[in-house]
Amino acid sequence: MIAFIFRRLLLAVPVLFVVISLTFLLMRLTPGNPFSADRAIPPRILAKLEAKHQLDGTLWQQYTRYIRDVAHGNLRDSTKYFGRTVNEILAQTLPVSATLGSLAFLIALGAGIFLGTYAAVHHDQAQDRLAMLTALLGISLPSFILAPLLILVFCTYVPIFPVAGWGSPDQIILPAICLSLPFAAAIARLMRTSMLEVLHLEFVRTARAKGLPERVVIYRHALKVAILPVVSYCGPLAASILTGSIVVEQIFKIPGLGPFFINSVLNRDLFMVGGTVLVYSVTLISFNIVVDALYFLLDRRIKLTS
Amino acid sequence: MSSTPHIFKQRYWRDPAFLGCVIFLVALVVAAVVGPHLTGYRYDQMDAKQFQPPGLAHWCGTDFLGYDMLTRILYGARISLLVGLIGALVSLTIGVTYGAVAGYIGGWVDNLLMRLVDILYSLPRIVFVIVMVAAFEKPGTALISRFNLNSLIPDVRLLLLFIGLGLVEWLTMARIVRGQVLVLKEQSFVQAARALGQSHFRIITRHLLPNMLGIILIYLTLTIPVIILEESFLSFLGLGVQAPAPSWGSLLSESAQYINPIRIYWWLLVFPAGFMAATLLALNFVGDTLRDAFDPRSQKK
Repeated sequence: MIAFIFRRLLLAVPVLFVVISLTFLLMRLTPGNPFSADRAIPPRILAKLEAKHQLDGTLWQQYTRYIRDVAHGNLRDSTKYFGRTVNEILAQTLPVSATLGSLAFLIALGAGIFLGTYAAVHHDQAQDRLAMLTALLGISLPSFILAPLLILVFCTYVPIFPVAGWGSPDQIILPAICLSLPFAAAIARLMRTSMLEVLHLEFVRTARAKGLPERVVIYRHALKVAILPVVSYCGPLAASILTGSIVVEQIFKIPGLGPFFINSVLNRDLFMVGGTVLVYSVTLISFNIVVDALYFLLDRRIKLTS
Repeated sequence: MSSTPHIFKQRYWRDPAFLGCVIFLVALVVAAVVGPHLTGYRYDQMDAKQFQPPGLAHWCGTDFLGYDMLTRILYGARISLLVGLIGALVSLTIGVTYGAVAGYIGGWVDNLLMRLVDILYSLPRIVFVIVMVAAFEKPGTALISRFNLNSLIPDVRLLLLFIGLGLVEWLTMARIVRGQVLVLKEQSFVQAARALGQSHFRIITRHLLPNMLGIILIYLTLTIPVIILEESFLSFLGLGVQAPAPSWGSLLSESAQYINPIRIYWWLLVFPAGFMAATLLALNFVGDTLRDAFDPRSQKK
């Protein structure tokens, strides 16, 4: 187990190296400079700016210096937001995105597991059909469709939530719901299929034969096994929520990482783009390691007990 | 497998939901192709009146510049479906080639290639597409003007989207194809072909691929909504199709800016959102049904 995690962590290092190298070289090799999007900068000022941001010398020198800095945890200064380091901006915005993302993650898991189990228990009845129709509708309503519609309903027609902003608890509810619902629907579909398969297994019959109440059979016994596909879906789920948060933060004007990332890409803010891509990649890779370890633990327990 | 099409005919062609989705999709394609010419407006033609609610002159109302919404939605459908289809074809080409090579060669090559797929799965792929689109926009424009194709310059983003989205969405296809090849290549007809001295390329293209056509097509239908979704996502962020050309994503993003509690322009949101959700719903439903019918592994008793 520890060897497994260690091996995965070791593999993550070259992957991150490739990610950061590709981002840097792609942004640096293609035309356009990181200091101004439209105006041409006088050559002498450009030279000074390049020297300040260590972008002088050959491309190889620039690249090796940057990689060395990143390896030491220094993501450099933003080339667009003067006087601010990328580390500083990330430290400010990442907690915001992480809060929104983890809340959405929990809502998606909770709602999805419950709806999927509910549908499986009522297999082929009206409740099942209704739940699955809702889920199919849900996966077809991505957050950037859902968000404007929900804002229209809950902020103008029935004004119970604030339109945008960040800081108070009622400002997080609507964005978290918009971000999580499509994935709750996906999990519900996954959960239903898996639960239907598990409910036919012998240990469920045994549990029922013992006279355990149906609620205990399903939520204590069957769920433990049926949840495995959902656990392995957690990796892609995290990736989708991360991507989705970019647009949800934009819509609800939340000061998270997303809007900064989009702006820095459009501004060609070289180091800001590099830093954000690195943070996104580190988040997902470490999340995947945790999920895989969890799956490994759960799976082994099943093999031991069955 | 030979009786599957028959069962399929009996079970699904009579299912009103499946049939309804297919009819909707066909109607949408027709409307996207001919519709923008029939509405009587051009997608970039301004009417004198902005923010007109739906009525006889403008069935879906007009937007903040006085553009006819219906024309723009149908034109957006054209762009979304085009990106979905071409992007899915790019992803199909890459995924099938990659998966077939990995499965056919097997051994450590297979191991290495599939490990790479696992790694790519765990990375934020859309983020890379965003960086790529921004980085290659200028070089792409320069390349196009060098070949004197100036009329294509507004479509540079579109071309980048075809390639970029296709480049990141081939992973599932590669896994499916590889799994199929692993099973098929041990079967006697493939061994017979090998014994006859046929080349590897010929075995893959003549014997393996035709046997996987069904599954490949099913996963193609399931890839299209994913790519449509991603295109709209990028257009919503202003990184997709460029104004004044509309896409469903950019229509929604423009409309979202005009939400305010004093004057509610609901038609700006409800129509594009409705069209897009209905399209994704129909594509997902058709793809799911086909997969359940034809993919033996996903078939539940």
